[in-house]
Amino acid sequence: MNEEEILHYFRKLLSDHPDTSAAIAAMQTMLECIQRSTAETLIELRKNLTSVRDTLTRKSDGPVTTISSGCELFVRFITLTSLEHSNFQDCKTILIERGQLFLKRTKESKDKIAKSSHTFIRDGAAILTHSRSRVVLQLLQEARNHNKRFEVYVTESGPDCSGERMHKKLNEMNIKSTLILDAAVGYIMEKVDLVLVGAEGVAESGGIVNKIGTYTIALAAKAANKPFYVVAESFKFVRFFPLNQRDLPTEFKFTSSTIRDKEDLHAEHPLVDYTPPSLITLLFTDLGILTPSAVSDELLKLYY
Amino acid sequence: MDPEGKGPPNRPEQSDKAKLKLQQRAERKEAKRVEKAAKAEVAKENKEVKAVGKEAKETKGKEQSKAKSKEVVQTQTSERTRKYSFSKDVSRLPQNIQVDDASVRKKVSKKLEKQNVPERKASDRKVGLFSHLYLYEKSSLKQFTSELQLVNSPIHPAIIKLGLKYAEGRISGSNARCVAMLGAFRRVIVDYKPIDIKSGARETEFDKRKTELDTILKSCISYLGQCRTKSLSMGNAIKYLKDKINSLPSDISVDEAKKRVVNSIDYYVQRSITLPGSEISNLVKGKIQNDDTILLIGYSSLLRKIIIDAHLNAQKRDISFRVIVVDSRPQFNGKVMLRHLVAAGVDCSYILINAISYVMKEVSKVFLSAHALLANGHVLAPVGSAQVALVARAYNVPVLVLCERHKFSERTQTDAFVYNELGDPDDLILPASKSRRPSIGLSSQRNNENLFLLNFLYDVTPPELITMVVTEIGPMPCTSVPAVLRMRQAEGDEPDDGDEPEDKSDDKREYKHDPDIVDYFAKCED
Repeated sequence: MNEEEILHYFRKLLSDHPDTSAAIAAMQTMLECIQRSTAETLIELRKNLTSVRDTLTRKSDGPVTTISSGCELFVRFITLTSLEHSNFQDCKTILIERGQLFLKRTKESKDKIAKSSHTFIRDGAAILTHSRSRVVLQLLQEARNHNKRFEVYVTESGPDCSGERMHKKLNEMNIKSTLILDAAVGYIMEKVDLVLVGAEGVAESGGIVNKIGTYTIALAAKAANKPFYVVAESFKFVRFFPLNQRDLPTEFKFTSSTIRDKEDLHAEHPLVDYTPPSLITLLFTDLGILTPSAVSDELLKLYY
Repeated sequence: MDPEGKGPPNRPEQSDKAKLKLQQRAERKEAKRVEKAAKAEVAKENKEVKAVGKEAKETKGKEQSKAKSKEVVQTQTSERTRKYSFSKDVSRLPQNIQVDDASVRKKVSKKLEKQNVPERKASDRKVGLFSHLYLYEKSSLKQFTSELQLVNSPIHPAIIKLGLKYAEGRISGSNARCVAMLGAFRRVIVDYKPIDIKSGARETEFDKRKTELDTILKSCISYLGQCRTKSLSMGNAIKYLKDKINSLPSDISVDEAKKRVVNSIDYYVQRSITLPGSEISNLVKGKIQNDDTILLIGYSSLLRKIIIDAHLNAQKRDISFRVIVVDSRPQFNGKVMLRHLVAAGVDCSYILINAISYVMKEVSKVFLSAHALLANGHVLAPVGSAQVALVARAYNVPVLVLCERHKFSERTQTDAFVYNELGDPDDLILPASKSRRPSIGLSSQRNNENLFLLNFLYDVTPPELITMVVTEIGPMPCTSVPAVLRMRQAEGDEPDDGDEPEDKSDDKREYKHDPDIVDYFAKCED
């Protein structure tokens, strides 16, 4: 598959199913690429997959963090098996099977998280969340299904006002929700019982990369002694350890079109920021409910 | 009152005598009180001992009823537990941190006598809090060396040389000491000639040789321990060597066995020290950005390598960074680091540790080296590191610890008292100079009974102050040390087994870029 076909397929998936996460669409693209590939050796196949990943991270305008981590884990998972068959077709079949298994597990991960973590939302709780996250929505839906009464404060989350879409969705789910300004987080912090955010990527340190503004909310939560919970699927674990905000690579901070077109990136607003693990209480993942220090242990297990 | 201070008008002498009597009475009372207190303490202790002894007896009794065949052993141990009721738990501690326990010291002396190693006199004038550690003064070295048996000694001359270099501080630093020790052991093994010692009739020829070698190694290790307390890296290397020797198959010739052990030593140095050093350097290069200011403390061979590599890499990437070297008394190791870095062309500044809070706001990263990484995430590092980490935290500067995996330990420690090393207190005394009057200063107070000089060499940094640890398998938070230890146990340690020992002389060429290692290996080739 060449670049255009890849991008076309990817974008079609996203437009047909607007509710799928970009990472899942990326993984499906990769699976399709393996099926259509004309490679005759494993190394060539691997090269193809790497090029798919590069195309998706650099040319499509999707969230780079999730796509790159999703693709890397996908490749890791499918190749983490014995491929000692003499016939290449057999190997390919195995890879495709494992790819479908991984995809299935990933699609189910949101349900798994919702089922294991909804108990953290108690009756009468006030929750603060930031920007729009599908996993958080599913978690709240699950809590709602268990007849919990709670209310949600959503930040507007500029510059793309994704918080407004979250607010609309919550209203559709019959959950009481209030839209607040990003600047009002400090004001609202004494009213809320817990903070619940999604993540675009979970770093090896246990910290998260998420929509800009998350770090500020985490600082305010720490100062006000409110628990800060992160909900993230395991394919978002990234092999990457930032020391501070400056250490975030440019590909994560800006969309690929911005990097291509704009010359002086200093004037551009970064889209994400890094929240260090010391500010995070717990992470709800499909691998279990983890403390930030356990993330690194899990990553060691996944990668070794 | 009485302006002339005559006091009570009559009999001044009597008042003196009365005063004296009062004094004596008070003294006698004091003495009695102290005696009583002492007796009470002793009585309490005896009670405690008896109580624990009783408990121990009870538990021992239960065990006896369970395992009748072990009766004899059980009664013996129960006796022992009654006498030294706490030492059963305490015996698991290493002996070099139980110096205040007289029974442990006796055991150590006996062991040294058996191994034919002289015992170095340790000083007893220590601060109470550190009285459980050995304090060796350089002045005791002379007496120690005069007692060394130089002819027909169980200790190889390369080891004797090495020990003296350790004691005088000429070889210092975790990696350097480990490599130097392995180089000396290599020499011992190469020069080993089977001697006939008495052994059990059922032992095979091979086992005999193994026990001989074991005895020799034990004496060497004890001797090195007397010169200077073993470092953790040395301990791990010794464990590895002993494992290798014990796992040799019994059907090979002595020459073949020697070759294999020597190859294992070379392999260990390469796999645990040289290659991880390069790998860590690779991983850290990418973390250094343009206009970075990096803070280093003291001297570390690993950090030197990393900074010099990063400097070359920075020139390629067309970025620049500068380094601030922090130094402290009494060793002034930072000067050595400074010399190396300046020779390599790195942009450097030099400060003493008192000034760190002034410069910290300009610093973008702190690089620390570690002596050991403990299982609870704390870092044992040269003294001063905890201080620097604390100030860095206050200024929100990320702190990176750079450490190879062979320095990971299963020990846990939360303070710097339980395990530490006491250096020579005379190092703290500045030498007398013309500008400084000798009456002022510590040198004139050295024999003052009320003055104790404390010079300790390591401190412990908690994991909250550390941003990340970089090892050869990648970066990780400080709390992941147990996961890595588990991995190390799972992967075992091996390469090199039972295959034809290849000619490893090519590998020595790889060491050439690391002058320390080449030095020591070159010296043991002689």
